[in-house]
Amino acid sequence: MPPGRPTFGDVLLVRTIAALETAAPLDDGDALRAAARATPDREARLVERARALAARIGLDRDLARLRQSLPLAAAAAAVLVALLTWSLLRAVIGEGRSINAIAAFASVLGLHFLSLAAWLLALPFAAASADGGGRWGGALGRFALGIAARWPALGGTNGPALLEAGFGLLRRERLLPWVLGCLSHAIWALAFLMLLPLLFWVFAFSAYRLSWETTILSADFFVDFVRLTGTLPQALGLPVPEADAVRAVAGGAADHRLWAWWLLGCTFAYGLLPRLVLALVCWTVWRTRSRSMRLDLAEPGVRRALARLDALATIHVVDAEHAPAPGSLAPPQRAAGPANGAPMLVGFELPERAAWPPEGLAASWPVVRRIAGSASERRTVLELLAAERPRALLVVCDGATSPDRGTARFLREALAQAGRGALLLVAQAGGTRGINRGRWSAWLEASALAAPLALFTDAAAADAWQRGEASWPAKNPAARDDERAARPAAADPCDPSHGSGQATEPAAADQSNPSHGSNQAIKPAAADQADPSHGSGQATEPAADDRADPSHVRGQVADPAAADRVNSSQGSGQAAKPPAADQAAATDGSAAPTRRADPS
Amino acid sequence: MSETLEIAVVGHTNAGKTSLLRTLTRRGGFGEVSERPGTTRHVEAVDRPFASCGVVRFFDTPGLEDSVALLDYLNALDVDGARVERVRAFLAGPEAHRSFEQEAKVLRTLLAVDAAFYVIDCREPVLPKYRAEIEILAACGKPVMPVLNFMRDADQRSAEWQAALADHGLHAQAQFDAVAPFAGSEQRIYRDLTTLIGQRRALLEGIAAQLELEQRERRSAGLLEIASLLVDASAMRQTLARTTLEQPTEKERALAEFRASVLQRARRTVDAVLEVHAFRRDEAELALLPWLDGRWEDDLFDAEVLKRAGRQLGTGAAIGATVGAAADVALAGLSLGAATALGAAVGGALSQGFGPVGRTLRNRARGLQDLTLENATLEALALQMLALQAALEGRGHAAQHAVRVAAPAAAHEARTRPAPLLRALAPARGRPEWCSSASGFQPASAERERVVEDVAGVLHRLADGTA
Repeated sequence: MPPGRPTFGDVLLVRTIAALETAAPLDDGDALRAAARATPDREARLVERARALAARIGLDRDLARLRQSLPLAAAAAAVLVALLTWSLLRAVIGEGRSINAIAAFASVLGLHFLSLAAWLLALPFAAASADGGGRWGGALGRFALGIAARWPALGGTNGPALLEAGFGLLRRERLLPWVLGCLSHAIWALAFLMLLPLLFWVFAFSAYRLSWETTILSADFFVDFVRLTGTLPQALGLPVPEADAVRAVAGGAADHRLWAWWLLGCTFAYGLLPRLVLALVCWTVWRTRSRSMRLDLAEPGVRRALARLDALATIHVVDAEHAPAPGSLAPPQRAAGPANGAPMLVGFELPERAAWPPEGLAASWPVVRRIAGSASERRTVLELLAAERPRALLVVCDGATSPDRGTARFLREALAQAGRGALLLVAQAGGTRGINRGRWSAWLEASALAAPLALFTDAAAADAWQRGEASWPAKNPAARDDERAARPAAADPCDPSHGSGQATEPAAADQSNPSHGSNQAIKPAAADQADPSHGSGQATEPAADDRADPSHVRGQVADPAAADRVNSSQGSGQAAKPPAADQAAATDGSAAPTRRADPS
Repeated sequence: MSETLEIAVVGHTNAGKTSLLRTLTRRGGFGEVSERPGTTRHVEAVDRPFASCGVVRFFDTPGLEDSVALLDYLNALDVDGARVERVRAFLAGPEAHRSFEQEAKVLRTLLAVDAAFYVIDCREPVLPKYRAEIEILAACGKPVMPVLNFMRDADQRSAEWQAALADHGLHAQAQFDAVAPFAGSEQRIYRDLTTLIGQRRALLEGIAAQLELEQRERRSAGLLEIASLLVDASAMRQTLARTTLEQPTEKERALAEFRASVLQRARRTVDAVLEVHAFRRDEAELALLPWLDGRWEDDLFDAEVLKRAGRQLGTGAAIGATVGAAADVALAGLSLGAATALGAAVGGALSQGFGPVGRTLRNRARGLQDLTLENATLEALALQMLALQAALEGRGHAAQHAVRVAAPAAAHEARTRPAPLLRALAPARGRPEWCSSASGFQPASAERERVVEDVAGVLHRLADGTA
């Protein structure tokens, strides 16, 4: 027997609690935590929880009271036994001093044999039947329940629930036949135990004449009967009448002493002995099985408690986060020297099935590279970037995937070599996942890349962004870089969420298309950046006619104070209709601002 | 007894590590599953106890985000000996607390555990960064079980991944979908682990067996709850004066009341079944909103739905959407439409004694009539509950979408004839005292328990048939 197995009482508590929780669970927070602290074993935890709850709602007290009332039941049984004994004795002795030995045998053992046979026959059925002998205990169970319900002193307020659960448990565990058997065998054994001394007393101190009588049977029948029934008492060393003695009864010359011993021996061997043995067997079965029970974890109530217990397991942080606080990352540092090489298009970690270059981008980008992202590929592209110093760099990524720090590292290193940078997210044709723009823009923000990188989800918009560079001020980029380097990172308050920049910058107001919002980088801090969060949104809008005037832009360039503000003033307005002239201009590194052809 | 197996769950950012853990630990509340990349930054440990077999301690790790650079760094380290020495040197070095802090956490955890689940979003192409990841993981020298997540996606590229993994010597791999796990895939993950860590075979086999057992237990518990509901719903009856039924407004009110009590009882079972499957109640509330906001009531009591479902409606439909006024001449107080099975009625009468008949006669004499639930409604209720249970069995604890169980479709209905169900429920028809919905706990009889078990048995067969 494993030491940790729950006992009958434990399982009874668990089941009673589960029954009481049918309508609504008990408040078991404390009990759950206590159980979880006490033991790692799930069954044991359930038992612990039930014990704690039982103590709280007084169930254990009721159970104790129910157990205390068992002596009452024993007293009732004793009365029953006394009645049984008396009736047995009356049946044997009868009236007068003459006893019919065979009739006495039948009346002492007849009822007992019948009930014993019934029990023995029913046992295999009860053990095999689906309800574990439920029909047997049904009547007794209802009787006990009725008493408990009308007599609260027997088991307190929870008495009926306890009895109900108890009978249910006995049924389920197939223990009912054994428990009931133990009871009835014990009662019979007690009855025989009281009967035997009484009989001995009667035979010892009174003279009875024992005989047999018949009308149709032969004497041989009685000889055989006595020989057969006498086998066991004889084996136990008790005297039994021989064949001659049996026949002698008919002649009236019998040895009554032998007959009395035969009757006593039969009562002992066929009455007391089997009942004692069976009571002991039943008790042993009950004892061993009730001490080592299993909880039925498929029971709904138990299962629910278990789910609550499992949800309690603590999660502990093993290796805490020491990530830099948001906003503490510095934006990428520009490499020294002018970046005015041809615009460059880089495909980064794109799925091999993706169209390359993305549709609509082939013509306007003179330098096109595509890498899967291996270390050597990255190095090659970064070296190329360092050599070319493109004035515009567009990195194309798969918009469906999750951005990661590896991507951030590449973007930072690449941006350092380029005049301006933008990120274009593309989706795979026929893919199940779309571009997750929100995720990427949040990530750019968190990686301090939102400011220096424009974010597009539309190729045409990105293309327009590059051509917008036509209005690039012919100013020494190095000076800009110095200026940027001198500014602390935290003082780079580019607010991407709305286009409020215009409102505070009267000088820029007339060059911005109101409908384009913040696409114009206007704040000094944002120098040469396009707003990442609005890029593509505006890209689809048709060109408005109050587009920035190139000549005005030139005027701005003349004004050193405002020089930085105008870099991308064209925004994405042209996206809807790219003028052919742009392409020629785009290949020309030193494109003059005047080359912008007004589509209208 | 308390043998502990430590498993690190590693993978690229957003590949579904936390989702996998939610499903494996059956805890919807674990970690934070979100769209944001790199949601998990801590290493978190959570225990999954397996009864007497032991405990699996899972470590949820942050994503391996910068694997290409890290591999470059590792290769550049001037260390001789096994590859794992490079990893150790890296962990001891300064970069483990600077640029590669997140990766260092993963590798530190990996070096300390028994094995690792390498979660792969198999919708992704096998890019060099993933190859770098695999190489770094392999360098740690621990058994790594690749877990191909998102296997149900149409875009999944498991073949490419399998080739890539085999290329790095990882031949064993598990397929998993954290949101909608395949039947038995959880057991298979542990069984497959035995190929990697053979010395823990006994524990892993035990875990797999325990998982199967728990699944069976959950199913039985859920079906018992449903069976109890059906018995209650069959037994439920409301006695009304016949004159009440003759007044339309009164009748309507009585019917509405009766329906409300049926639904209240059904909701209790929905909650219980959810709890049995360890889905949180608040999550449940959210998930089952369509059931609870009245639409379900429409589903359940809508005569059209039932008709479409191919069920024959009794005369109860005439007096109001499938709550039948029991014709008291019916034998043993069986509901209307219960002429379906005379045998059942006789069997019911035999097993119930003469109580129901007596009550019926008494009611008749007093001019009373009983409201009970129609058979068609009972069947619809049973099928819906079975559908709920099936949905919950196939639901990962990482799922964030609501369970919506619709009214049973006609085709489905035709396939699963619940006639045996009605037969099993017949004894409950005449026992209004069996209904436990009325008030708190009432001592149920052994007979009721037996009927509940019978009904659960029928439900078992129905559930297996539809599975």
